[in-house]
Amino acid sequence: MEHLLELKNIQTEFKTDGKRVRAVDGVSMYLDEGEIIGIVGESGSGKSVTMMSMLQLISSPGRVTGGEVYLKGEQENVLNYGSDSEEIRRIRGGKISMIFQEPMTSLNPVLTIGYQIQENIMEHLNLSKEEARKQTIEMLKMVNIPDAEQRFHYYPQQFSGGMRQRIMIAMAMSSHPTILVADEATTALDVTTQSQLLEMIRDIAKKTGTAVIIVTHNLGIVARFAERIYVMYSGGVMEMAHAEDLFSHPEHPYTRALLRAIPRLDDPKERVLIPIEGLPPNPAERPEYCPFYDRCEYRMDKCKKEIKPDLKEIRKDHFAACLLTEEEKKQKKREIDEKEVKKAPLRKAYKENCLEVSNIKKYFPIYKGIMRKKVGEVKAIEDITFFLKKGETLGIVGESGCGKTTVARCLMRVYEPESGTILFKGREITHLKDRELKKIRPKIAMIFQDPFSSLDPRQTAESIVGESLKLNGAVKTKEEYHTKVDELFRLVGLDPSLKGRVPHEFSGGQRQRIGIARALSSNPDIIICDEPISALDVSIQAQIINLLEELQAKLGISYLFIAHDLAVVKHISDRILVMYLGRIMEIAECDELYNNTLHPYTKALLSAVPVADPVVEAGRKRVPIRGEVPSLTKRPIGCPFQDRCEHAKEKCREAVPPLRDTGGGHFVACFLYE
Amino acid sequence: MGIYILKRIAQMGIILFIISVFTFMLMSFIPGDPVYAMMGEEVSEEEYQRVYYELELDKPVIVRYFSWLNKALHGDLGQSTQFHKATSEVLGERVPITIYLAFLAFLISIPLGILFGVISAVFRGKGLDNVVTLIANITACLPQFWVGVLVMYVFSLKLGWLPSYGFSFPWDGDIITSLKQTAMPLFCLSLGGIATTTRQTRSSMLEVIRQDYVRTARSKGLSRRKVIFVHALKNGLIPVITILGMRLGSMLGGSMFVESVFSIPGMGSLFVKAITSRDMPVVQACVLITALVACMVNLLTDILYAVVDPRIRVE
Repeated sequence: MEHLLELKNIQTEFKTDGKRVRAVDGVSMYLDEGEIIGIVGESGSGKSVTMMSMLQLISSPGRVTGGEVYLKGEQENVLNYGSDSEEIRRIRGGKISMIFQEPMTSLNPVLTIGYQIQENIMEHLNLSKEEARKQTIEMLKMVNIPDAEQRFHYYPQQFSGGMRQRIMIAMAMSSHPTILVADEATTALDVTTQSQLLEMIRDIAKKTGTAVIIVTHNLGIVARFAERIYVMYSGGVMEMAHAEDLFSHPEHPYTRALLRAIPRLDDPKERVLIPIEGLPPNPAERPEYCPFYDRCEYRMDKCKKEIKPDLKEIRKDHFAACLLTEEEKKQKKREIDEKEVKKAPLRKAYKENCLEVSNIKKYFPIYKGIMRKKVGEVKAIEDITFFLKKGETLGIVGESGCGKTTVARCLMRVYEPESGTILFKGREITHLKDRELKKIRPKIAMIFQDPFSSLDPRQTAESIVGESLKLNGAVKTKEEYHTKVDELFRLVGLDPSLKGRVPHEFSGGQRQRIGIARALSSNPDIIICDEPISALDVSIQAQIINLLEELQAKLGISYLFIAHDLAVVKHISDRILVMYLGRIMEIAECDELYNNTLHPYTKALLSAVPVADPVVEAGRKRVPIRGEVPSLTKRPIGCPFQDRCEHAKEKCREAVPPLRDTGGGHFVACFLYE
Repeated sequence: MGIYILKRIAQMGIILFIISVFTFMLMSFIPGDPVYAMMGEEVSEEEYQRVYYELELDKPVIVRYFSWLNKALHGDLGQSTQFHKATSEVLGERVPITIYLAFLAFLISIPLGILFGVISAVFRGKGLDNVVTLIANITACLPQFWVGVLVMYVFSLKLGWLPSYGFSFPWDGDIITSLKQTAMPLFCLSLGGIATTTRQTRSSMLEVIRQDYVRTARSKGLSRRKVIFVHALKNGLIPVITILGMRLGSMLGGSMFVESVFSIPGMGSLFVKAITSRDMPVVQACVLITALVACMVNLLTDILYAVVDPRIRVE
């Protein structure tokens, strides 16, 4: 049978520092008509570069050095067309459309969205300007852009991220392509928007018979949406199978390891994440043998002796690139299972509250005009009330703009709340002056999201970690300082001999460990973790999560864990606090929140998170959610969620529901449960 | 958009006011007796007294400033001490020449600079880019008077193709003569402009070409020409506009050298002469006119910004 699209042995090279780096190293894949396939892989695995190579969009100094691309209807290898030839341009955008990751930068800021879509239609469908305009408006309506006629003349920056990505979908679909490539199309968006968009892509594709390639690092997304999946690692395909088969019977050691390393929303509480040790190979120094060898638990001596294995069929429609035979793999698996799995560290539960927050508010003034007159306020957070026990982890989840970070900054006393009280170990710190705060500050530490920009690039690791030791007078002598720094390094799993290095000499995971060591150096009672793992690759995330859990068991620290990834939050937290537009919607124990979800927003949020298992996905009830998160300045009167809630009643529009205890420490702010 | 322009005009008014204060102080604070500066050292007692009161030197500075400003607003900028006629009359002959030259040089250099910049960015790293960049880098550093002297030596002295001095407008008589007279001055004036615009356009285009929306445009299958001229250039021009204002300013400055070299009776050469002969009213007038032109250009630049970049236009 002829495939709609077939890539054979694609090879793409980049030149960096005079070295040739093979970003894509012999990738073959196919796509059939109307099919939705997923390509998953960590950053640097070559998944996007493969797609770009296919369309000859690789720009210099990169170069496709080999391979063939066959597209139904084209007589010859598409790579033989020149990179700017009439033929390839007919395919680009005409037969194969792409949607890119960053909706903020992927649309041209100086052209109206209408122009940008219309241009695509005129280019590929040979329609007059007037007809193209009509079609553009239809496309905009199809992706649910309200007032399409007027919005035609709007510029991209007048839309929210989710809307822009819908415009991208409209643009990509406007030329009636046979293949749509969604390259991390929803990665930068909130979970509820993400699932709205992917569902839209799927529905449109099924309606028009368009085949879709979803490129992502998120295993949950491919489990929910893809029919067939390619797993990529270090420039090559490791495994290919149908979605159910891949998740129920993963064959390649990498896929198996990956599935053991990621937390899932439906995990039992005691699940232990097993991280993949080490780092992906540097593509400039990739070995001739299997690129996963160094991190593989199944590795045998023969793996290192032979060259990189090709994909081979293990059973019908299931391919894996591994040299081991079924027997060998079974044997190895038995050995691995027998190895004692490090149990989740036992944590002591303490009774006393470390932090008590009641009714804090933070408003930001809006200034306008030359005289900077105050014209209004952004009510960033309102009536935030919660407590945090010693040795406990409280997860804070919510979509962007919900005030998670503002809460954290109020607790750190970077901001002074307008009203309310913050009690730290029974002591009020709400309005303390800087000088009085000096004693409190070391006790509440912070770990930041971006391990690249949150460390001073000119400071050595040692001085980053040791700075606060000196600052707080925790050490008396030089000797003591060095022992303490070494101890901190060892505590976070770093070799103390690396302490003379500067941040860019470390990998992302190591940098985050330095960030953790820095937070620990002042011997804090509370660490506020603001998205500490979202910038890391999936295989590294598990290492950091495990480290945080171990440290907590060892040192009895309380964590305030802020993240948008619900699976991770659920894995690490004891209790979860759900925020929406500056208010608390629900607080509950982890399992209670998942099994007995009360608030309609929490329900929608949980349902939007895809689980990395197609069987579970198929059985899950979906709770649809309307619209997008409005801007804080447009927060509705009454319940902030009312205009997106299907249960909204008169009462919800008039009054803000108070946060009530429904029993067993499960708090919810909703009139449904009065 | 309307409010935006009004705001800019208001700002311009404030800036011009401040400049007028400084310009006025130029005369008050300069060392030496302004009467001697005007009339020369050998002035009779009555003459001295007459001029002293004429210049209102008996009154406080603030009063003098406002009376000066009032007169200036009515077009009376005082008497030129070297030409012994009204400053406005002196300038009236000179300013159009300089404006004409600077404007033409501006019109020549900007499109050419943008063109070369785009070419060099599109062919980045290739031979053509290297040649353009090298020439642009060299010419950007060449002093205008040196180029002036050089071309005069080649084209007037050695080849004898072009006259080495003189100026006439093309509309008062012979177009050919006028073109011949202005060819070299224009060349000198626009050279630096071309070079800086080329460099600015190149670097901003290189920046823009890497952007995601250019990749999007390419993935739509648009032709290279459309990608470059519709999607990239419109964005790439935004930083170039910033330097346009500065270019006109430096062209007015450059006219001092170029007009001196080619003996063109414009404002530049007048300015130089006025400074050397301490003709304060003329210096003041030149400074004011230059400031006014610079402000106008900045205003135009800001409006142009809003036209090109919708992010400024729509809040």
